[in-house]
Formats: sequence, structure tokens, C-alpha cells
Amino acid sequence: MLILIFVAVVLSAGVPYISQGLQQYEKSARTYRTKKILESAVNETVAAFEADHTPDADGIDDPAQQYIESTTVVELELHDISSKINPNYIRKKMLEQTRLKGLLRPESSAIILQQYRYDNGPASDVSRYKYIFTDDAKKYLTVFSWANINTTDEYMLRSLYLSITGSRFDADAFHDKISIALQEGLVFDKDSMGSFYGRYLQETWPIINAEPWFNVNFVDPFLLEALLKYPEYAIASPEERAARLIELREQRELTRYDIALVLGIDLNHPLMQYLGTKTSFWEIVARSGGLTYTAIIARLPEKPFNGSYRKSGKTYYYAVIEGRYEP
Amino acid sequence: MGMMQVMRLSTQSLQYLLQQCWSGLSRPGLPPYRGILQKRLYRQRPPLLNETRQSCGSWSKEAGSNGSTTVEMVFVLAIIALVGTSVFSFSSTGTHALSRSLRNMHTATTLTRCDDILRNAVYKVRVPFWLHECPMEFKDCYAKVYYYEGGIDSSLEIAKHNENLGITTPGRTLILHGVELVAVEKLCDFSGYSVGLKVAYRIDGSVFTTIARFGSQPVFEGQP
Repeated sequence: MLILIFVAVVLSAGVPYISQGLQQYEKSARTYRTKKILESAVNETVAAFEADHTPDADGIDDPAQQYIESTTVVELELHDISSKINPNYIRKKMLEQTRLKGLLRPESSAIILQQYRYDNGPASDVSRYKYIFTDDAKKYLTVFSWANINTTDEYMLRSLYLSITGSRFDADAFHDKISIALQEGLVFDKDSMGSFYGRYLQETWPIINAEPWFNVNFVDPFLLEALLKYPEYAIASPEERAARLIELREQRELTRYDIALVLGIDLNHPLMQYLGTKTSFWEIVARSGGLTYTAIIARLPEKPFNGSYRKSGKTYYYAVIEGRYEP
Repeated sequence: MGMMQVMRLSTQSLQYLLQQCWSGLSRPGLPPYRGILQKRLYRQRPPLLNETRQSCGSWSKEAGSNGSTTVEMVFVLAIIALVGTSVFSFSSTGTHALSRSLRNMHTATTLTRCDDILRNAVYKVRVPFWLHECPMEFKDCYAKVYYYEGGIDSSLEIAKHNENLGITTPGRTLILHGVELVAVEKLCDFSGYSVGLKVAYRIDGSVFTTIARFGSQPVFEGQP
């Protein structure tokens, strides 16, 4: 009887601890399992990106898009988040001379934007620009894009270089090089920029490169039309040509040749530095078991002179650069 | 003294008592059904004339009468002592084992919770992809990491907080009681870029380490 009483007392004292411990363990194990499922789905999507037989263009027929639609275990969404305006990088002239000016608040201007980012450096979140751009403009903005050496504001290129290397002296020297290129009207591709910028490029790769900002297959029609209307490019009938590109991309994946053909321009035209066929950053949203995992995937661009990345051994590759769970 | 030893001694004592009792019963001239003490008392005080045995019920009794003899009392006491010793020994061992189990359970629960909280907090640090290094500050048992939830103005602090572990995020400080911070240092990948934090802490005297990664990965190659 004594033993029984003793056991009863001991159990009644221990049960809350044991119960709490088991609940905690079960919750952790369940969350861990769900996270693994979500991460696995994202990794499968990344693998589908790499299995693309037309790596020079990303469109609606790509294996990644098909995987997203076919998978049933996890609810997946795929968004091109780089085919937008990057307020960190956009040049003052492009904002002032196109419809993009309408995205700015009435009390703001392109000069204010330029001064703000020069003072504060590149922002990691578009909400940092909420006093410069309107609330409606948010859907056209991103901070996820590579800094194209031909299209990025020269002061921001200097600022980026400074952020990456920490050398003010070298940042000024890099800026001088950029100024020379701008004065001479030079437009670089990935190989020629390597020859011109040398070590500056090596130090900043892959952040500074020559990848076009917008993927014609996914860019918003408003941005596409605004870009084609940029006076400096003198594209005839920009509205019709923009509409033609949108009509075509719904039928098939567009290539650089399609762009050149529809717009009636050369492949080396400066507009091709803005408008390309590849998406640099993707956002994958995976949901399961009440948990949402949002991953940012970067397509690391082809290295100059067909160099390969040490991490992957490939000339280009996809990498998960950010992830966050909610709730 | 171990449980087995107690049991062995108790068994030996019982055997001895039984032997003595048996010898008392088998000796001629003595009243039947008496043990060692009864024999000694019987010799010291022979029965008086007309005295009935019933009057000395505390020492002896007639067969079939009510009450207990001293021998029986001694038996009972011995058995109670034996059982008591066993129960005490059992309860002592059991209590010790139980308290150890409860402590382990408490450690495991606290560890799981602490590990979860640290991993989740550090995972919310998202360094912009264009930065080589996450800005961080380290002192003794203190770390401050910027870009908590992607903002340069928001930071994550892990520090010793009155012998407990404190995790401070914008507008909130979480104290993990019973967890003592031992060390916190940055976690680097093979290229030397910081990719997370390594946090060592003590729970119930044991030191554990949580390796927690940031929610972002560097895109650079080579040395930072």
C-alpha cells in the first residue's frame, strides 16, 4: 500500500513535467517535419530551374513552372521578383523622362531619390522608399536585381563597391572608370566589361554584372511600355510593340531575337541592357501544415569568359539566398 | 547499503528467529508453542499454584486464547522493520532515480525550447545579398547582429541576463530562465563568410551548443 501511495505521489508530481516535455517535443518534431517538406519542395523547384533546356530564356513553359503546377503535396507559388524597378539602382533620367515619374510622390522627385540613396546606401527593403514612391508603386518596385553596369546609377555603383570592399579610395577609382565609360558611351557585355573593369569586376562579382533587369516574358505591361517610351531609345509606336510582345509571350517563350525583331532594334541596342529573357531572382512561396516558407532564389549569372563557379562548378547556377517562415 | 544486502541480512535474521522458536518448541519439559524468550521467562518465574496462564497474556498465552505473545510482537516488529528498511531503501533509490529523470526531462524540455527559440531568432537575420559580411558586434557573452528581419536599424542581441540567457529583438526581450549563456560566436562557411551564430549555454550543469544559421546566404565566392 505504501509503495502504491508512493508511486501515485511520484507520478502525479512527474506527469506535468513529462506531459509538457512531450508536448514540446511533439510540436518541435511536427514543425521540423513540415519545414523539411517545404524546403524539399523549394529544392525540387530549384532543380527544375536547372533542368531547363532553354537556359537563355525563362518563360511560362519552363520545367519549374510545370513543377509548380503539378505538385500536390505542397501549395507552391512562383514569382519573378526581379523584373521590376529597383529604386536602389535606377538612373535619374529614366525616372524623369518616362511614365515611371508617376510612381513618385508629388512632393518627391528623381533628384530626391538620388540624394536619399547616396546618403543612406542601397536599401534592403522597398519600404525604405515609402516617402519617395507612392503606395501604389510598391508592386513595381524590388530590391532584388543585379546591378547592371550599363544601366545602374553611377553613384550607386560606387556605393555598392564601397559596401562590398570597404575601400573608399578604390571606390573612387572605380567611379572614375564608370565616368569614362559613360562619357564615351560604352556599352559592355559580360566579357567586355571584364576587360574594361578588371579587378573591380572580380571584387564585386556577381553583384555588378551585365544582366538585363527585366525578363520580357514576365515584366509588367506598364513597365514594358514605359521602357519602350524612353525618348533616348526612339522606338517607333512603343504601345503597339509592347502589346505585340505581350501577345507573343502568352503563346511561347520569347528570346532575345524575338525582342530585337519586334522592336526593330539591334541585339547590341542599349535597350537590350534593360530588357532580356532571363529572370535573375525568383520568389517561391510554399505552404503546408499551416506554415509558409518564402524563399528567394538567385540565378547567378554566367561568368565572363565562360568561367565557372567554385561552389557549383557550373558557369551559372541557382541558389537559395534567403528564406523565411511564417508564422 | 544496497538493497540486496538488506534483503540478505533480513532473511538471515528471520531464519535465526525461526530456528530459535523451533528449538523452544521441541525441548521436553517446556510448555508447548513457546519461543526463546518464553523459555527464559518461564525458568525465571515458575507458575504459581492455581495461577492460570491466562493472567500473563503479555508474555504468553494458552493455545487457542486471544492476544499476542512477545515473540509474535517481536516477529511483527522484525517484519515491519524488514519491510520498512526495504521500502525506505526502495523509496530512496526510487526518489533518486525519479528526481534524476525529472531533472533530465526538465533539461530536455528547456533545451528543446531554447534551441527552437535561438534557431528561429537567428534565422530571422537576413543580410542583403550585396553585402560581404553581416555587421556584428561581439563582447564577452554578448552578440549583436544587425539586419534582423532584413532591416539595418533592427538587430538581434544575445546576452547574459542575470545568469540567464536574454534574447533581444526590436521591442521585445525574452529571458530564458535556467539557461546560462556560456559563449556566443559567429559561424562561418568554408569560404569564411559568416552564415550564422554558434551559441553555447548551460542547462542544469550541462553545456549545450546550438548552431543557428541566418535566413540569408552569401552569393560571393572567395575570401571576404
